Amino acid sequence: MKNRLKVLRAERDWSQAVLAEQLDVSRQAVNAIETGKYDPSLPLAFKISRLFNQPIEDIFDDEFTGATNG
Amino acid sequence: MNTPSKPSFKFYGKNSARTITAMFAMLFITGLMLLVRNSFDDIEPIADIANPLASSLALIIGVPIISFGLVIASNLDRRCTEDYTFQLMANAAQVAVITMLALNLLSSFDFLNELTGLRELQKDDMVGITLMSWATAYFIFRQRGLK
Repeated sequence: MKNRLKVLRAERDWSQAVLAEQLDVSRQAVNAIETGKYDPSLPLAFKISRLFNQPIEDIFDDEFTGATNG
Repeated sequence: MNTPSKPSFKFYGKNSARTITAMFAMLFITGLMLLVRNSFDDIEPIADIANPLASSLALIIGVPIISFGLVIASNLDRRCTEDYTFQLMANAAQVAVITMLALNLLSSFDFLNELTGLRELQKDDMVGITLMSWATAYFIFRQRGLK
């Protein structure tokens, strides 16, 4: 799953440690999410969404390209 | 927007990734030491069991009780560690259990023992294998990611 976390963080000039503290997770967790090594849990994704005041789907891209059934 | 203060390091809290990593480094060394020590120790024969039925019952009753207790304990782990760290530990634990079972199975084949020099595994070997494998898998998952 791709995400814009690094971009959003850079826009605010926050370090990984600062973002980690706001999300109440470790810096390693933020790094793992940014580098695509870990998909955050749903509660953490909602927390990120609230922090940046953007919908989850604007931050995370599940790269799903299949057609939906009508 | 105000920039929050610099994060503080907690021993066993949301910022526990470094603590857990240090713990796994120690687990790896402990597992390694157990395996090496056992290789140089004489294997003691298993003593006759005085009451096989009582022994079996103790295990049959004891294992679910201990498992239940550990489920409660793992909930505490889940609350005290962040999701990422818990996922690393849980995924690595799965690898450790499978490694232990696989090595236990492999050690029962005589031809493999003769081919590789693998000896019959003992109680402490199981602990050593599990600890070492858990720690190794933890570091691999940290490096490679959880996908």
